[in-house]
Amino acid sequence: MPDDEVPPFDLAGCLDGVRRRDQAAARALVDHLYPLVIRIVRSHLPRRVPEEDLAQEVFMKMFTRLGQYQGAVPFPHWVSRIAVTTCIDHLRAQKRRPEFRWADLSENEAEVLDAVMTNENDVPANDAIAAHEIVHKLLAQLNAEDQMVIRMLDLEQKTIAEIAALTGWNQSLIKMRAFRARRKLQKLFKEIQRKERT
Amino acid sequence: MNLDDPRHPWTRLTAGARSARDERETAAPFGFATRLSALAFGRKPGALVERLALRALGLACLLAVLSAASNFSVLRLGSVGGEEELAEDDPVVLLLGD
Repeated sequence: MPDDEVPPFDLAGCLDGVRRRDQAAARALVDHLYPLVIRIVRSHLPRRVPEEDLAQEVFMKMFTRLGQYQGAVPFPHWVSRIAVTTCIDHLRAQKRRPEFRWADLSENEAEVLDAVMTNENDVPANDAIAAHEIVHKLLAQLNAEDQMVIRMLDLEQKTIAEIAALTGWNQSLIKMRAFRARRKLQKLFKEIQRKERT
Repeated sequence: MNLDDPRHPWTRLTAGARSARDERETAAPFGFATRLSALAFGRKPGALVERLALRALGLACLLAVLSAASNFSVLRLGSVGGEEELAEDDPVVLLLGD
């Protein structure tokens, strides 16, 4: 084995250490899982909630509920589920949904939205960030659960089964939520078209 | 046009959004894991002070009750003939007479 090769992370050993209240093991576990948690938090981050605070909440729940982990699913999946449900709780807490207005878009975002509404061309690669921002602003119009389902389906391209595993919702409920959310989005697009860019 | 239609603005926007690369750091910030593990195992820096302060408050209450109980007889006597005794020692009463 070459000297610079990193040994695989001993998750089972680390969990044993955490159960024995070994702080070094807890630190190693947090460092190991942070990239996974922060990706979930960033993709479902509610407005005005600092990502580090949300990540901390996820890890605190992980430590508190560690005794409930039976090993039925891989540990990172279990932690992902905690991260997703924590994000949903925060999204739910934000009851006020800001109205979608052309005036709130940046100049570039307005141009990208105008272009997709008026022609059938794909979004150019250099406008990807603007498209990302528009999608997030549109999704913010939906309720927490609908946002979560559409984000996972259309942005992360997860399957219904994967979403079910991450959220704990049954597959028919997810399909129903997706249907309802798409109908709301369709209505929103009609409204945007009606308002048009001033 | 259906939202699943590849020509729908939503489909093209999400396709564009997926191609946006997130280049932010994904490693834990410095000190994050240490702070969290300390929080998780309840070794907060103020925990000892808080515990001692609560004990001190309990001890102070106990001492107050004991002192009130031990001086109860004095307090009771004071309240019985209190006004007359006070008037005897009052300089204003002595100066002005009856």
